[in-house]
Amino acid sequence: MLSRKLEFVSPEGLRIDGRRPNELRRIQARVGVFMQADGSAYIEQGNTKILATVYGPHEVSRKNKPLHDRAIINCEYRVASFATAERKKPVRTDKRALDLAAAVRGAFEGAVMTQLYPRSQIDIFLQVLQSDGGNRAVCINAATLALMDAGIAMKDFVCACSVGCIDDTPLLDINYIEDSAGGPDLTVAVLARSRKTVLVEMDSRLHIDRFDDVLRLAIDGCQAIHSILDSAMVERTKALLAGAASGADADL
Amino acid sequence: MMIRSKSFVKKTRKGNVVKIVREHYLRDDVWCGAAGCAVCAQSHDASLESSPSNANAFFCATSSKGNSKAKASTLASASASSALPAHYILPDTNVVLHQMDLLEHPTIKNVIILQTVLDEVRHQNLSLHQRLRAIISDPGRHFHVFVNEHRRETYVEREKDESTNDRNDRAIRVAALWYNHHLSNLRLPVVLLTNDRANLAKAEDSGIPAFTVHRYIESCRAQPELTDLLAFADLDDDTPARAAGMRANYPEHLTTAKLLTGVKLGLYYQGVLQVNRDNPLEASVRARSMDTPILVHGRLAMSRAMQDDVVIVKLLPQSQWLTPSTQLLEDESAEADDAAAEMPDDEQSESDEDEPDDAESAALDAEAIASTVADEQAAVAEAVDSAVVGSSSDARRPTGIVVGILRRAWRPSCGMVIPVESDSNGPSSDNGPTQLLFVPTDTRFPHVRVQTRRPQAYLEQRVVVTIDRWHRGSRLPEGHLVRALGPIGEKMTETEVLLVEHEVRHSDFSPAVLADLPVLPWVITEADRAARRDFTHLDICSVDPPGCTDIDDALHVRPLENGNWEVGVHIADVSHFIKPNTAIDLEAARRGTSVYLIGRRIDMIPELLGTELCSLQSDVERFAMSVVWEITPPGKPDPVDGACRTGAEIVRTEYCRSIIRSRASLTYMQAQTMIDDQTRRDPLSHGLRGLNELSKVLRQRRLDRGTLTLESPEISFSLDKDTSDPVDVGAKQKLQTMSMVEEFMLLANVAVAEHIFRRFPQCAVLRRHPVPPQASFEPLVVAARQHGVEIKASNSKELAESLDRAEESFGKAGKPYLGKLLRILATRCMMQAVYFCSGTLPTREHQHYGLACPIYTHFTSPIRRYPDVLVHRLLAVAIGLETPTRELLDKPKVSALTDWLNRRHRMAQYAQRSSVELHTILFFKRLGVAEEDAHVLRLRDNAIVVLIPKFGLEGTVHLSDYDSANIELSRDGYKLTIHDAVKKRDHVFTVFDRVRVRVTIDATNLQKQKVSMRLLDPFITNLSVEATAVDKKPAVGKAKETSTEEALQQVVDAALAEQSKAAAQDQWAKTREERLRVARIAAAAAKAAKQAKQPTMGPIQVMGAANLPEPGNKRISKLPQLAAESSTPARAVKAETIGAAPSTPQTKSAQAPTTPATSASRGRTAAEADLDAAVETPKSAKSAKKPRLTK
Repeated sequence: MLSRKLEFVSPEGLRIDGRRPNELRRIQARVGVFMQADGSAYIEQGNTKILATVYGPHEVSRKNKPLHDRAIINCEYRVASFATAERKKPVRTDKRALDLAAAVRGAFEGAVMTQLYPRSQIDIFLQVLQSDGGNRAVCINAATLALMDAGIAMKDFVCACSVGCIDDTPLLDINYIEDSAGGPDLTVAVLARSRKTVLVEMDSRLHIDRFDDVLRLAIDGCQAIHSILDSAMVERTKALLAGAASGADADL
Repeated sequence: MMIRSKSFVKKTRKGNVVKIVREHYLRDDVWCGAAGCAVCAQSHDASLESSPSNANAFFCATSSKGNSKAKASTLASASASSALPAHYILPDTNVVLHQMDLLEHPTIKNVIILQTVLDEVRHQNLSLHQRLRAIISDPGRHFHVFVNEHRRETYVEREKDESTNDRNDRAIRVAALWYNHHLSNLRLPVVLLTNDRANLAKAEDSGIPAFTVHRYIESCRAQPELTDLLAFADLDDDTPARAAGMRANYPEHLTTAKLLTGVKLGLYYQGVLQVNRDNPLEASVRARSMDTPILVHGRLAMSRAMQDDVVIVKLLPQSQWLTPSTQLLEDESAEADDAAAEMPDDEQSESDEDEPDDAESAALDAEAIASTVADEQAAVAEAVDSAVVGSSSDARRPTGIVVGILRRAWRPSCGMVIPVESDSNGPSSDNGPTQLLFVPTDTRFPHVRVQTRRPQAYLEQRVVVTIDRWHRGSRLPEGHLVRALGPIGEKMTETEVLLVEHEVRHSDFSPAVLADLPVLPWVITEADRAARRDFTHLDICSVDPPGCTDIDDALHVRPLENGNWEVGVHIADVSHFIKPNTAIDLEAARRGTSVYLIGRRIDMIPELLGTELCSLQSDVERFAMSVVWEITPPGKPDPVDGACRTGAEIVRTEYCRSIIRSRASLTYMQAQTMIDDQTRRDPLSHGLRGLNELSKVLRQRRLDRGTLTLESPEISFSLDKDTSDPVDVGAKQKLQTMSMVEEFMLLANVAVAEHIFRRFPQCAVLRRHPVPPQASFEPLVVAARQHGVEIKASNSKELAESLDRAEESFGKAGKPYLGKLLRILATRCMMQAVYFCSGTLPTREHQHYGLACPIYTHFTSPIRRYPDVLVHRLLAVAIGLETPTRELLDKPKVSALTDWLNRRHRMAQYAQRSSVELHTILFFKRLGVAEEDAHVLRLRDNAIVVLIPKFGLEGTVHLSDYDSANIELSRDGYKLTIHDAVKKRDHVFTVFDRVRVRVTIDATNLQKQKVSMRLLDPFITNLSVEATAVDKKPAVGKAKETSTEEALQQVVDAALAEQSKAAAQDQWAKTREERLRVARIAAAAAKAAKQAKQPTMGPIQVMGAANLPEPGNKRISKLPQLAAESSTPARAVKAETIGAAPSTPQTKSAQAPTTPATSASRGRTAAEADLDAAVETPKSAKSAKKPRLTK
């Protein structure tokens, strides 16, 4: 009966890092951090730090076949070898990375108005600088901002959020320790205004009775993230406007 | 919300050192919890009362004026008698760790527990953490957890060069200060309790009202019992004055890091210390890397380690290895040793060597380790090698000394206190605390020093004591009194003791648990009916022992149109009422099983369910989980032996939830009458006859398969109606109906086991009974051979057959009891059956040896066994009625749960057995003297272990008073020759021989009254006692005369008691002759010692005397058992053996009292080979537990 495992949610209702179960980590987002790319964004969600850069729309690269009615979205995901506590040797074909990139691509194929850019290609590069859980969701959020920064037409913000479930308590925005508890990790991406889900992915198993609660919490989390992304975008736009007015930046 | 990142360095499993960065959020919405607080008013229910004055009433509440700081400083300097206004208490970590018994006292209320404290407690001691959590969750206690680590104002960052402990202490002070400011409007000071002197001073400096626990509690004169709960203060532990004034009695333990490194290098061995029951001065440690247990001899070598502690042992060089003691050490001498230990020795100062101070010796230790690693490794390797080689010729065993303790297994223990008399300071002469010596019931634990202000409340009482610490300067550990249970020797008290000792949860069910009970009046809804099969039209009945109120099974049979029969087993649907993860479920899991003591039952689930709503009473509709078979009718009996083997084939099995209405709750006797009375034609009688016929076929088939017959009708006590004292011991009749019910329960269990295993191969809860190792059958085979019978035990079928043959041939030879005795011995060769999670073991290990079936589980008694509830849930999922919960399918969790349930099951059995033992003693006490026939069970060179069939009582006839030169035990240990020196005659004893003994109760030892047996026949001068007139009369006035044979049958189960453990102990290479040789040496030494008129107590130096309040004048008051001749003969021979241990320079002066002793009789408490074959007659077992009341 006695087991010395971590207490993920204390009876006082706080998680290990001091959050309540329905609280996000601190999110800091900056748009346009990288001048070389067409669009870029950097998001810190707790200790997960991700840089997204977007190139395009541009001519389709040689290995891809152009689609005549819409653009191809290409997505690459890399984890820096220094991103985790223990240095990892980079693997060339990391299946997880490929899966994750495919998931992100899938989410954006439903949101980017690809038909406006026929016979072209949009590249999304995701670089994890520090990894502390919820990478998949943070990648999507960063990519949204970067795409917008690149001026690519989208139907809506794609906001993503991960939710775990430990001892029957749904936990919003789980970090690495909570993730390694072995419970389910549900990542949901929604179109913020229409609340349509564009991605639902889950690792591990979850009792069906719990699923509704977990999903609802994830969607609420996405809404909260939306307002943060929105204000980051507004800020960037204001900065650009200010720059345009002073004539210093003709990049607009 | 603010954020801080927390970073720390951690070592990974691979051994890499990594830096881990974690976020740490600081909040403003962590509330203080005080009811009157205006700032935190938005918080949900405040846990601290707004006017706590009534709670901590020991300080009379007076109005206090001035700002909080001024008040605080006056408080801090206030003497104990001055008034302290109403306040909250804020204990620091050490106070919580050491004074848990105090915190648990209901008058302690309105306590603030900081998260810092909670985390530290959790980290240090998980069980204390759980106890603390239990208090916190009790709303009546008004404990509040303040999450100071996440409150912005109270978060403290560790400073450079600050240790974690200092940082935590500072965090606690900061929080205390914050509280005092925060609540200043309410005029409610928060009092910091700390026993750390430095912390106290710093707190007082910063204006926090702070006290030591002792001052705080001692000033409350209104409640003297609180002071008893105080653990020994750690306040002055490290003061230089004390260190200088105290001589170390025990070597210092090595640091944990050193210990673990040592284990890794193979220098040390890690294991659990198991103290010898027969000789508390000797212990053994089973290390994983060693085949044989390591012997640890003497208190000094044990170095403050106690039973069940996880210790690190260092092996001594082979030249210092010892032989395990083989004599039975009576507790007197051990206790005398302790008493002696408390006696200061005048010569102490002369013989003491100069000892390097602590720092120096630590440095030396470190160096010694570093420099001698290589040497020691070689030495150890050599030692281990030669241990293997030499074991056959040499009885000496690897011997070691404890160098450190990894984990203490301290728990409250029961016992009694005796006063420590001192000439200058008589007990209770003033109001100062009186020193008492606590003598635990379990002899494996040392005596404990305790103190109290109210000695009268504890003397002659059973008390519970918790050990607080064992300082190396103190000869004995120190502890504090938790509570008094009642006068020693009274039935109620002793029953309470055995419940506490076996950790049986016997308090009333908590309100939270009762809240989960169904609302009354309970009605069956339409939804319920729709979800269940309606079996109310069937003629179902239950058959149980008389007086049974928790009926968990019922049966029916009816013919089908196709000529087959339909048989149903209906089990109370407990899982309908107890849903997973409710309070009632958790409580049931924690209890694990109902415990049936004589005259008392401790329920697993509340009575409303157990005996009302779940219980399948007659004439009411009840929910059941049913197993229904279509079975072919029984065939014709075999013409050869009359046994019926044909028919009763299962055609179809069906599982469902149902509603039943039992037609009758029958007793076994009633059911038997209905079967036998051929004139009865009613459907119920008819059905019972059918069931009976079927069960005979099933039983025969089971026997053919090789089920062991180990019948176990138990002894039952008849209790006096008013006093519920045992007035009679009687046999339980074995009726056909019992085996009838048993047969169908087995059938249901096996069917359900197969079904849930098919559906959940990974996480089914099953029960297995491992095949015993061949070696454990040795005593059985040898004993049988002596009486001319060959026993084969290569598999259960052969064993069953050879036992049957033996019984038959003994029967023909006119010695029918021998067959029964053989069965008793066979039972003791068995292993214990256990619950397990199917995914954890390969399928072939799922088998049940005793029942000879490949798979088995417990399904039929969910009211009194928790595993059955689990099985019910699994079955409900397997038949598609429920969705599984996560816990049910979580293999590691299920596995951990089954381990826990096994433990509970075992403890419950021990408790039951202790209860029988207790009542046996009470019975014989009433009886006075009894003279009875007995049979020899085992022979030792200083004892004969006999069994009195009439009472199922096993006892020891001690031979230690007799001149050992005249006693000779044969090499194989199965023949004892005693030479009568006066009559010049030899008496030969072999196993199973009949003797006559006189039974009395030895009440000289208040603590542990025991049955004493003396030999009557054969008469040996100076050893046997003369038969008295009592002999002529029937020994038990009213007791029913039962034939030897019948009575023997009763005791099989009681006799199950020991062997599994004993066998395990015997296994390691300790051959008969070795033991003999050693015993002979010891005996010779004893003789020599006696002749030399060895003083009763050896010259033992008590170096720790300085820490006693009155050194030089201490004396233990002599209780009878202490005063008994306690010459420990072999001390002269072996006393110095430990002394040469390299790392224990002190040993020369603190001589280890060593005494060889035999394990002549292992207590009845040893593990029981719980056989389902025997125990699975649940009703007979149950009935024994229910008292038969006689006028």
